[in-house]
Amino acid sequence: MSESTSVPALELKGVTAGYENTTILRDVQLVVPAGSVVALIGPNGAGKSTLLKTVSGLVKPTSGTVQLFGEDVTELQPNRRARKGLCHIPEGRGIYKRLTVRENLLMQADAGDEEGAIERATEAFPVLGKRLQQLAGTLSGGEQQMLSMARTYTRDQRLILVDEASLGLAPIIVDAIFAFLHRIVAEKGTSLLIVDQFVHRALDMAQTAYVLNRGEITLWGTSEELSNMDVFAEYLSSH
Amino acid sequence: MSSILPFIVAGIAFGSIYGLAATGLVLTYKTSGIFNFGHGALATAAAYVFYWMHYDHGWDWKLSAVVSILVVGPVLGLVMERIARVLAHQRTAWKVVGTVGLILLVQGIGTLKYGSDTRAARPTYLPSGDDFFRFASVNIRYSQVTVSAIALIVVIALYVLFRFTRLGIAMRAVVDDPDLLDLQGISPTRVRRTSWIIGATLASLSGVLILPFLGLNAITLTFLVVQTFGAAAIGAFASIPLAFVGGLVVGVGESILTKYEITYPTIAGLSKGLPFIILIIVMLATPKHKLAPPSAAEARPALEWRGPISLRLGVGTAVFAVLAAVPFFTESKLNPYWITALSVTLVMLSLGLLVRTAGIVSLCTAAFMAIGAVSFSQMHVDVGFPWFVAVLLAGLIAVPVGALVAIPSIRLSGLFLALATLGFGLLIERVFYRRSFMFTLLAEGRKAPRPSWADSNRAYYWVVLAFVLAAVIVIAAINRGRLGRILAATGESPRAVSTLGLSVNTSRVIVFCIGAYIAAIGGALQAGATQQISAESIYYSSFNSIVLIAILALAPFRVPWYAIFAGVTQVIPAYIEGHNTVHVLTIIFGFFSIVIALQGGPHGMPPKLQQFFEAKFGPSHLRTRRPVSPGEVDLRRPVPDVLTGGAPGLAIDELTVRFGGLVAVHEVTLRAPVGRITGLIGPNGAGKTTTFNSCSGLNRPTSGRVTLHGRDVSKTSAPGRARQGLGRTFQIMELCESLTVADNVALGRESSQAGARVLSQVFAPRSDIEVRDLVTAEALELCGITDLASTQAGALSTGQRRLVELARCLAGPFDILLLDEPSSGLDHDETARFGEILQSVVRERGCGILLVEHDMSLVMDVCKYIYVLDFGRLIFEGTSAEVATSPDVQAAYLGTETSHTAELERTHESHEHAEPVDGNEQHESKGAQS
Repeated sequence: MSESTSVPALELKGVTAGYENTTILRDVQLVVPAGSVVALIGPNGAGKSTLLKTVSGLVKPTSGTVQLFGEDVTELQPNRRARKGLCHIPEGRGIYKRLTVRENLLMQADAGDEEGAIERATEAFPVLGKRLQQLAGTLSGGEQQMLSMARTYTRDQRLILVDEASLGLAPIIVDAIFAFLHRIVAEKGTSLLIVDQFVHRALDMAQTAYVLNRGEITLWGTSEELSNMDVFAEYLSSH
Repeated sequence: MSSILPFIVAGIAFGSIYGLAATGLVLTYKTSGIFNFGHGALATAAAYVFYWMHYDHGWDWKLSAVVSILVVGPVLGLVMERIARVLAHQRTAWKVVGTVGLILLVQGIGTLKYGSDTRAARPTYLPSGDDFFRFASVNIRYSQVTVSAIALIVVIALYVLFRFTRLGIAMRAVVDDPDLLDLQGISPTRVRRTSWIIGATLASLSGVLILPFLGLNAITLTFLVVQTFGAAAIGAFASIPLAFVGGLVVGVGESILTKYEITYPTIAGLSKGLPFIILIIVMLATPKHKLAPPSAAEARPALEWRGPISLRLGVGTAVFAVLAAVPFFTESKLNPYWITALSVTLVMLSLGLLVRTAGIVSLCTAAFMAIGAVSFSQMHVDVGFPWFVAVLLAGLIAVPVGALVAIPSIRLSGLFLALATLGFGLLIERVFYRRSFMFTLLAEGRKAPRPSWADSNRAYYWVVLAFVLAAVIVIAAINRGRLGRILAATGESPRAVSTLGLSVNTSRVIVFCIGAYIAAIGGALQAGATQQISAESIYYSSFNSIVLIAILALAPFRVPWYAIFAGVTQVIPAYIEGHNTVHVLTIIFGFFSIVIALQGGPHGMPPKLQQFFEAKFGPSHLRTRRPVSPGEVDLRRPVPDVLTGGAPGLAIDELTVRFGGLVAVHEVTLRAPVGRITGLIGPNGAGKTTTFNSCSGLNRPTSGRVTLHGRDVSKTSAPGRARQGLGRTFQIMELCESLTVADNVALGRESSQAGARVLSQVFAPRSDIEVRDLVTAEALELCGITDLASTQAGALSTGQRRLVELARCLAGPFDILLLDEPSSGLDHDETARFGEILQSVVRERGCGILLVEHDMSLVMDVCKYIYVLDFGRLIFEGTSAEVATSPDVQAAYLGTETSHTAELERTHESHEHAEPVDGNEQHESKGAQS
């Protein structure tokens, strides 16, 4: 592991956040140790996506701080955070549908490293290589997700947030996506915070896990501990 | 053919300039979401700078061109980016006003400096300047070739930029998804700034290029923008290459029409109207969703303060006394200034009803004034009706025209409706004003005499004042009455009120008709000031429509005060003499309308003054309003017969909804009978909201049937279904943010009372009001929000807003309620209370509820029967106990893949889908917001 310093990749301290009149997250504490995989699970509408958006800066917390790699980034714009090595793969295919696959990859690349980025992306997902000139919106769901995920690989990322990457995909594609994530973690030692409906797959990958319910962390522990609990029962109870 | 050729050549030169400007317009609109009505003003500004440098100061033309295009353009772009960034969060009306103000600002400054007469600017400086050569027996000017070549080169360069450079791709990416760009480390703000710089530079270039052809004239140049709008419309406001082609089409079309106008006088003026004809046709023919502007979170307006009744009556009396006394003090300024002030007040009352009450920006007021003035003249002078009858008839003649303008309003919203009205106004002005049935071609135009019994300035002034007083009373009554309420609600949340039973199209037609009627009478009365009306009169020009909108934007307070304020601005030139006053005023109006648009509207009465007035004159109307005290209401209502007889409630059979190639809902059959809470659950994107939208008539199912109490309502409109007893709430809440809680809840009943008929929308019988107030009080009480009754809805927390939406639904005459994620955003206690309310509603009223909900504990608690959707298909149905233990449901929620069937569904459903189901649901709800 390249990054085994004691500074965590991500630390949320007392984060309360939401939209105009709505508080979605309440006093959330969460740590992603450097080089580790953390799963965030919880029922629909619990605030998982909002939590990831708060980390990447699309949502500004009303109180609390967000620390990336030991640095307070609470006031930084998303693009500034991204340039520090944060990679947020949003829910619902993070691609530009009206741009070609190639153009999508160019937007994922560092300036000056466009060709290298395209090479790495097509090496990771060979199918993208055959589709470079096609509009991204015309790809199949699985291919779109691969294009979106390629960003974790086209640049050197230090912390990756993945939101519902397997939503609406065939199991065989889901296998490929998870295999890819395993590979990145193994090869590069990148830290990973993963939200996925396939709870058990996410727990299998992760060392630690947090359960978010109605915007509050209701449970956290090692992924073994959580795997042995009846998570569905936790979803059904209001506490 | 050869005789057309010269016209085509001339058309190409103009067309390529339009195309350039249109390209800049589309670029800035797509990347920032702000449609720049002042795009032509940017071009004009650059043209003025060029003229000033080259012709006034004798600078070399190349240097002048470089400065006016490459320095002025980018600077304007930077300013525009700042303006656009702030406007992005304001409501649509302010987005329009903010950029419309630019037209006045630039036009005012230009006219102040160079006067309103056109100054020639021959292109003698260009290579071979005015010379021409012959090609295929056509004389072609070198300047035409130069201009076309420059435009073509620039557009090709732009194409290359967009296709192949990182910056160009980022500009297209920011249109698709600005957040994603941000996440990828590129600042969307910087990309937009670059777009504005390029867009404004293109505008500047087009201004400098067209200057030699048109000469220097502020109005001609600023209105050049409408040719640009026509061109941009051909590209559906989205495609840059098509916008350029559109420019050529408009240019060549105009030019060819000029040729035929010489031969066929019946089509005179058609060439000038062509861009608007194109604009209007394109907007009516383009699919609705393609014209939806990108939406951003919009600021809500401040709750308007309504002064204590005694204060308002007192001030009103005093103001009218002063106005009535004016002739005793300034006899010499009465005509035209004070008479104009009154007629403008009248027109402002009409415009205010559209803009301020209904939230519709109309940019064709002057056309209605013109129709009124001309009709009056015809009725009185030509037909011989008495003066008073002729004035009223003039108003009536404008009504069908108002209804005609209202037709686009049914399809178009906000921005594009404003554009359509501007196009309509200019079309009427350019094609019809000079016809014999309107102002005629004569310089002196038509006669518009005053009544024989009020021929003096004084008497006529008082006659007009009487009209104003009558209009103030009518408009105030409309604003306070049912029509005012439903117009305000329709302006803020048309989806909500239509699912509550109001036919919003009827309301929109009514408001345009009333607006047209009053504006036309204003025009007719204005005609009596000069007693001669002509096509040249500034009062009837489209430019005046824009001035009026700007004045309305900055006029403070509520109806009728803003109208009187706006009217009084018309007498300023009478007291500050000099012929520059008007231009300085134009600049001031332009500047402040931008400033006020940026801050989201004029400030209301300062709170300290409000308190002072309330202390002096008693509490304001708004704060005293508390419908009925809770104790007076009997919460137990007899259950309607239809419900006790085991009415079937809502039934959906074999419902399938497709969006393009995507199946969002597949053959879903479910029952939501009365007297029961039925649950509809499923993971994100399962098709729940799509199903709801099909039930309430907001989307068009591919196949299947929706029946309500045994009646097939599949073909019934959304308001129609509501009136048959189907109520709903929204996942993304649809409240009227600027209204109070009590007003919002009252809409639950009043929308269906107003219904589809004109009469019931305008007048509310006393019995209706009583019923409404009773059910409002009851619903507020039931939801425990009586204490919030006079709070502005926009100021509430999400939890409270959910309760207001539920209360609004409960106030309606509904026996089937569709509740879409009503508990999201509520905390634990609120959710528990919410569950109790739902159960008591069903118990006491015997209605049925279909509940979509994420909170499984709430669903398990209250639902007697639950349907589970996944990937648009029903995968399970049963009691809550059965659902909790079903492995299929667990699989759908947790993706544990224990279930054989779920896996089959997944494989079957998801291979080769271009778009996930949930993407479409999101798309739907976004479209709804705009």
